[in-house]
Amino acid sequence: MTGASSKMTNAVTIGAGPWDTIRSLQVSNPAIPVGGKTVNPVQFTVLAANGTYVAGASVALSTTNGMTLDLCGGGTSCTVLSDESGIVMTNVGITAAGSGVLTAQLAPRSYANPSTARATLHGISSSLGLALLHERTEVEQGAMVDVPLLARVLNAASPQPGVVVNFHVAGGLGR
Amino acid sequence: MTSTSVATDPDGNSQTTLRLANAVADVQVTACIAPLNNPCKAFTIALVPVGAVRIQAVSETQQVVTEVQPVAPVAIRVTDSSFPPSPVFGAKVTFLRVLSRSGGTGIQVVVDDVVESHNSDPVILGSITTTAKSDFDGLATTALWPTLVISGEEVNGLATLDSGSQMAFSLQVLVSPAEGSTTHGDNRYCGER
Repeated sequence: MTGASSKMTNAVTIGAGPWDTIRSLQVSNPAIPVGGKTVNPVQFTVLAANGTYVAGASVALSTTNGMTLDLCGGGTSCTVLSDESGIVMTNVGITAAGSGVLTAQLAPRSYANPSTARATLHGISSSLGLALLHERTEVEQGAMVDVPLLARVLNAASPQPGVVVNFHVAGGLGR
Repeated sequence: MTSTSVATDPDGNSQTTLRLANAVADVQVTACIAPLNNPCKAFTIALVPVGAVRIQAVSETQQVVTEVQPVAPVAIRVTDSSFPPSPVFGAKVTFLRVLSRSGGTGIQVVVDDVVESHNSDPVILGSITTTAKSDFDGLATTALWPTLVISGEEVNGLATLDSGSQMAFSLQVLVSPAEGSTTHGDNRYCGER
């Protein structure tokens, strides 16, 4: 047989398909002092209709209340791709007191009504406050590791230079 | 700790480093504003049992490129076993990579209209083992191979944690479809590079 041909329609989908969804994974974050960052990174997951993870899907991130996104290089919005595990994960910087919303939209340029997920965070401000970056860090048990600890001193959200901060090991076996 | 009292810089930041060695319980470090030590807040360094540490694919774990295309570094994420998983900082990741070349086209067998080529066993050209530590986002990256990988060669690798959790990755380099190029039996691209 010669001259035969075949045609496959919709055989390959790159990125998000029309039935894929994005979900916010429940990550706890307490109220964060202005100038600080999330204790736990905010996570979204992109799922196919059959529940499998979708890699390489475009996800548009945007925030309200001036919240900044590490994944966007410190900006307040950008478009990223879900990683090979279907995850979009970012730490969020708080720049103003009050509630802010991080919105993640799945492939908004491809679909008129894109799947959307949101995470709400709260910023607080005080006259003299401390914001800890990476307030909670997980390390492997038994590991020998140097953990940087960074505290930021703020007065009504303004950085305060020349203030001495005392660090003290309050528990465990750090030395 | 490298320092127990640190003055803030112009950005209001005060930083020290905690050296953790063989800790068996979670560690808390308080940071307090001098001289009254008020207010205070606490860092928590939580320990994850070795057996609960996992590895996740992040990017470029399965690459197929032509010779003219750039090769991106492989990225993996180290996490705990909770849901959703949290990043694990400072975990040692061992990256083993093996460079090999396919054995070339062997005997061709024709069955009806189908031509089957049987390649001989690949030839191992070298291997490299490096280690990296995960950052605050749990990320660890490595270059797939330190020098240029040419068509017909491939890199197969394995990222391994102390917990035994593993993630395979690979790079396959194909002949560039450049106009005027020629290929030999070993699929090596003979154009300019």
